[in-house]
Amino acid sequence: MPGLVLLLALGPGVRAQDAPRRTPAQQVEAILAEVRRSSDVGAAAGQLARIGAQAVEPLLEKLSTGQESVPTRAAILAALAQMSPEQVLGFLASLARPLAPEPRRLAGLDLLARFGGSADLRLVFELGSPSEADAPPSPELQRALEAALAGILSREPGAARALADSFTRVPPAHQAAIVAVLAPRPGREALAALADLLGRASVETDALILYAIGTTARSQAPASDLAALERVRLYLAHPDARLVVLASTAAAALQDAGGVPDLIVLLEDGRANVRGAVHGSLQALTGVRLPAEADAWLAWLDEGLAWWNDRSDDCRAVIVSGDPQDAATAIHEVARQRLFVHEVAPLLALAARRPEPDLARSALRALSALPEPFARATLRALVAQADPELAEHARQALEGLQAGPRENRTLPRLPQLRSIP
Amino acid sequence: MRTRFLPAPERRGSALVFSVMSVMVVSILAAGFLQLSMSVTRRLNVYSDTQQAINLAEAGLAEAYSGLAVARTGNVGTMEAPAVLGGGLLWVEAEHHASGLVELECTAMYGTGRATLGLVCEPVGLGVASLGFFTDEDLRLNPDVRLDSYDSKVSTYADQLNTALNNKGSIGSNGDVSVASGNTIMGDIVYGPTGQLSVASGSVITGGSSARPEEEVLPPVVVPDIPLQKAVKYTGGIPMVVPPGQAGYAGLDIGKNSTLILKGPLDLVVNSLILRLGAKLEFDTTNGPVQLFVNESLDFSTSSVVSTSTQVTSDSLIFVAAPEGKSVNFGAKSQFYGFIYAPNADVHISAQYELYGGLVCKELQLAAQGKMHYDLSLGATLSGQLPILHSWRVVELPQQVAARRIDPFQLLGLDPNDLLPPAQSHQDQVLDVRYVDTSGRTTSYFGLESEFDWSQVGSLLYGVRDGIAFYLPEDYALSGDVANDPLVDLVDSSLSSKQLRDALLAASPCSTEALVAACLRDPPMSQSDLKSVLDANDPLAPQTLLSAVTSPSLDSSALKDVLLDNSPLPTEVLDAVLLRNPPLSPSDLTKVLTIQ
Repeated sequence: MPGLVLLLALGPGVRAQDAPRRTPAQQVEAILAEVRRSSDVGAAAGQLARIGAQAVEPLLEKLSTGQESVPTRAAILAALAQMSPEQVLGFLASLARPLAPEPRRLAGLDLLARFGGSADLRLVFELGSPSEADAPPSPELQRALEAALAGILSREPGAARALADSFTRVPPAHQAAIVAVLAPRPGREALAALADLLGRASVETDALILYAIGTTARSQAPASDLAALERVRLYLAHPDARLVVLASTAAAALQDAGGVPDLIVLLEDGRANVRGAVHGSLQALTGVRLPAEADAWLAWLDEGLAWWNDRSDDCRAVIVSGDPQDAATAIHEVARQRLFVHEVAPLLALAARRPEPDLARSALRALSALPEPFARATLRALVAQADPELAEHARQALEGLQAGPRENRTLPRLPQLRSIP
Repeated sequence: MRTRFLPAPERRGSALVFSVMSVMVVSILAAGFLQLSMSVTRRLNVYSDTQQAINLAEAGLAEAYSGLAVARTGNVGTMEAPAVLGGGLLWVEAEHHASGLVELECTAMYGTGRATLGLVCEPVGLGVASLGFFTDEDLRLNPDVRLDSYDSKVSTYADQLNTALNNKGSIGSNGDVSVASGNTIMGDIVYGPTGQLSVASGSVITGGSSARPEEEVLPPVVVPDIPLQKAVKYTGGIPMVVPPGQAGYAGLDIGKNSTLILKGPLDLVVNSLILRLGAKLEFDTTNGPVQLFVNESLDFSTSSVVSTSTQVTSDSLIFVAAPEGKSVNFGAKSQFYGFIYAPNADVHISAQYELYGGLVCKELQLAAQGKMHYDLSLGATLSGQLPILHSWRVVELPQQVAARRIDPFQLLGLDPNDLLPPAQSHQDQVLDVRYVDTSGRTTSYFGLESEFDWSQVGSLLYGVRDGIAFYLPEDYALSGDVANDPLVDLVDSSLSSKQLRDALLAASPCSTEALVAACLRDPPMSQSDLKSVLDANDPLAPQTLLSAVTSPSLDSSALKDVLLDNSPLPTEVLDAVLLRNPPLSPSDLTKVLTIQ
């Protein structure tokens, strides 16, 4: 009896160690059976780690069932984290074959998502390969693959280059995974990385990349990576209407005001979808509400180009150093420009720094009236600058912008009831 | 001596004749004048009666017209039981046209006066989605089904679970409704005019039930005229993207584990749409709605997945124009935020296809344990909006009314004392009201309006006729269960990260809502600012910790510090840490796990 009490007092780990005839799987089972609360995790992880490489397989087996409790799962992961990478990776490499059970490969990818590095990218792709050659990976495997790549990318941002390099060598489903993990990265990096992938695989891949650019760029400040913008613009001339529409949507999402002339030319395209998408993009980029007719937009373009050729430099000079009356006229003139809005906003920001309060306010008002992303980006920059009075005015203008009406969207119309029921 | 001259005998009596003639002339003249006078009087009376009848007809039209603004049908009284007003009677007939226009015709009778006036107006559009969950045929629910409601304009479904807004579901049919055991119906049931409601034991219905006054006519699906490309069988590993605009396919067959992305604004017409095993369909409505029109068949296999990028239910619409007798199968795993309209189809929905929005179809087979959550924002809310008036005209009198110009009550054999005034003569409807009665007690009523006594209503809180809200106070959506912590407003303001940090530190200890909002703020707070705020509010509630785990402000190291300060962590937080994407760095994760 005292012996039993002593055995109980020694705790589960000691009991497990004191059973030398047990296989590693049994030891793992015994230790995990004692993990019931969060407070059991630390001790159990240490005991599991001490079992060594032989514990990897049963631990992964346990993970792959997906039935374990949260503390158990935490203990397994903590144990695997404490083992040497060679012990774990060695076992994972044995799973990198299509016939390996998918749950185990999922568990392996989960592990790599937490602890993997850029050196493990190949292993990640191998584990994420579909079980059947003629079909893409299952949704679960694809999700696990994306999570593993995202995990590695978050720890080692430099792995993006390696991913891009491997883009043409991996199967289409893995290309989709690479696009999915590159897209949510911070603004410029994502755009550059995604634009760099354009044209390197199939048309379907290009469509996905343009779609990803259009989706992720929407909530960000106007892009300034000219090379990337240029790559997207190239697709405006693509023979496939789907790609042209997606490129047009991406151009609008990127706030590529420099691409407006290319878009206007497309208003003469024979494909209705292209014309519709381009018209929407033009309205979003310029804030101008002209009908979807090429002539009207071309006339507007000519007028705008003439202003930029003949008047923009003079206006800039007057805004910077002209007398107040001339500056007021110049601000008024600049404020009316909607071609190349990305160039208009800095001019108005210059005007907002004029010492005359009236002129500064007038410039801020004009800024607020620009298409929202440009106005927002410029006003945010002004809020952060040193002059407290200007910063306060800019902050107020920014708040006005935030309180303003939301973007107009196409509203669906449901069938109407014949009668009030 | 006076001499008397006597007339000659042959002239004797001529004065009398003359007198008689004079009297006769006068009499004739008098009779003529009397006739003239009576004729003028009669004409004046007819004119007056006609004017009065016109006035009554105008009043009747006004009653019906303003009734349309409060979800009335526009029908006021009938020829058999007209409304009585000012000594005359009237009735209004409403004809609803497919174009959405409503033609009102009011016939009024007063004395000998008759008038029929008509007007054409356009009531505020009521989409079919206002019917909630509705079937044209009998609706038989399988066991353990949950049908309830929420308002997507207020917050998410999860936030509104077990609140008042969760309890306003609308389940309807033109036929019978059978509620099986284990069903939870959070709301009202309106079955067909000749239908019945059967309720099995063990089921819960929180609202009322009633027959609808008349059958609902479901308008056909109008499929846009989009040319169809040849059928596509897609089995690629790269998701197939259908760009914004219009597109049409004779068929779309998405193969095993392949993905189809529909990027809105998009109108897509397909003859058939199939999602195979593991296939995925994404409605990307970030830039605009996706309207999917299916001409013939739709089959989402049980292991396919359907998702929507937003929770705006009016942005993802599926219209099934399949001919009579066709069945469509929504077997996919989905939390579908949208509306499905299939007026001629038999719709099968699996238990794993959880629908947030609405569904109107011919027949519904909702699997046992299925869940559907009606989005109240899809429903019509009239709130007293008057219809748009298009035209007004005098209409030719109906034959049976024009024929005999006698007292209308005598003509129609009616006793004016038996008739009701126009305001009480509207066509009967199902009324759902919540009100404070004259004794100050808040109570509600659900049933036919004819059986409701409006005089007991002190003030109205909420009113619906036939499922259409006609009275909602402005703060209806915000009242009650929605938190309104001023610190949350502060977090959502345009304050800089630093200013917000100072404000929150000054207000500490902050509410959990404010800390959650700070963690999830867009644009995010800077890492150091958020960490200062969280540190000042230790120990953190599990909800705050969950938000910290997903916060874009905190990197792996900062999050680790927060988690270590609040260890041991509740299980759900530990679970969220393990599921975090991107994951904590290996060393941080190890530290967090080993300290538990």
